[in-house]
Amino acid sequence: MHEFSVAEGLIETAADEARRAGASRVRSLTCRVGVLRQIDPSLLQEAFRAAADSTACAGAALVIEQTRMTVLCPQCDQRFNVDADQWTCPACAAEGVDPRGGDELELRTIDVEMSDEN
Amino acid sequence: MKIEVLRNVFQRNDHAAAENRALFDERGILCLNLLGGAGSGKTAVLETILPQLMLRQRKNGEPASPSEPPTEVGGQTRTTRTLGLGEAPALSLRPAVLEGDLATTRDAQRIAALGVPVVQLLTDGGCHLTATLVQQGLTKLPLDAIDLLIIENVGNPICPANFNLGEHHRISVLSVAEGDDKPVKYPLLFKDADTILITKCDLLPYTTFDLRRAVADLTRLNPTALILQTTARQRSGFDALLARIATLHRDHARAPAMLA
Repeated sequence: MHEFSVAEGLIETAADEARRAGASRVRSLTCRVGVLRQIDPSLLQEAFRAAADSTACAGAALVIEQTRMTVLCPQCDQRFNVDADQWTCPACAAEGVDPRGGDELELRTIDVEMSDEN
Repeated sequence: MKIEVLRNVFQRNDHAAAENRALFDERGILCLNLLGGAGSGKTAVLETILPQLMLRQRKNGEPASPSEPPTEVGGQTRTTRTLGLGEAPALSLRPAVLEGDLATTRDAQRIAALGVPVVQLLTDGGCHLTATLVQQGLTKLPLDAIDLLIIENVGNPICPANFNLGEHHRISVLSVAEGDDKPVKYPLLFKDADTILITKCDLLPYTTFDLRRAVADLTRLNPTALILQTTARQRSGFDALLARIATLHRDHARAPAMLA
């Protein structure tokens, strides 16, 4: 849900950063979206394409890093990715604890074209 | 040229949320965001606890007087009026409510009938409250006369959890009627809550809701949350919630700027 709001947020933030750097155009953006946010990556791509039109991000590539929640295996002392209800350690089948992450929603990097470049 | 950004996506909302939070801290107001699915019992929780919170504040035991009709923000424009609180002393809890809905003022009317200052926020079709809409609602509340603000979010288990309103803590609600699998289906709703209410517990005999399973899943997802079972129709299970709100309020009054 809210792919369009997320796309708008990405574009606004990227345009702001580009402006600060004195750049005219954003070539690509990399964002991190945790699966707990329930954002569909393909819908986000579509929303981004539509929302970026006539902005500094028009035509830019959007790279989406999807992150999952991790838990700690108390036996192996290693963290592993989990989905909604399966928290079993893939190595030893113990139940994971201490859930972290999976709710990221962040613009990580942008690649900009400086005003004097072609 | 590559630039490292590392900024939150919902910037505009988060900026407004930070402004709301600063205003709460400046005025000594504890703000709670009440979230849960449609019909999970959020308004009924407020109807049960608000008179108790106000009772604690009344030295002479007089009931609160019914207030004027609630003001609205968003939706239709109406003449706004400030609601009175009576002769409350400057200690204990003096609550106000922001009601979030897509349409109607029904929930705000229920709160107004209790004598609590309330503003209805109408999203005009939006499925969650935003910090900006909350900001508009704050201008209609008697901020000098309150020390507790409860924001009842739009009934929706998904979207509201994504948007910070500037609250200090979240209270999330799961009703027995919704099913015991909702904690794993909607983790974002529950994982950051300070308190989780399992409501409508009078329906347990009539549903397949597995209380043990739901509590286990909630605890696993949010090990530090206070998980309570309540039944508004029988007014049971609320003492622990009132105590928790009192504790949060006391802690907040001690060090408002230090709380996360």
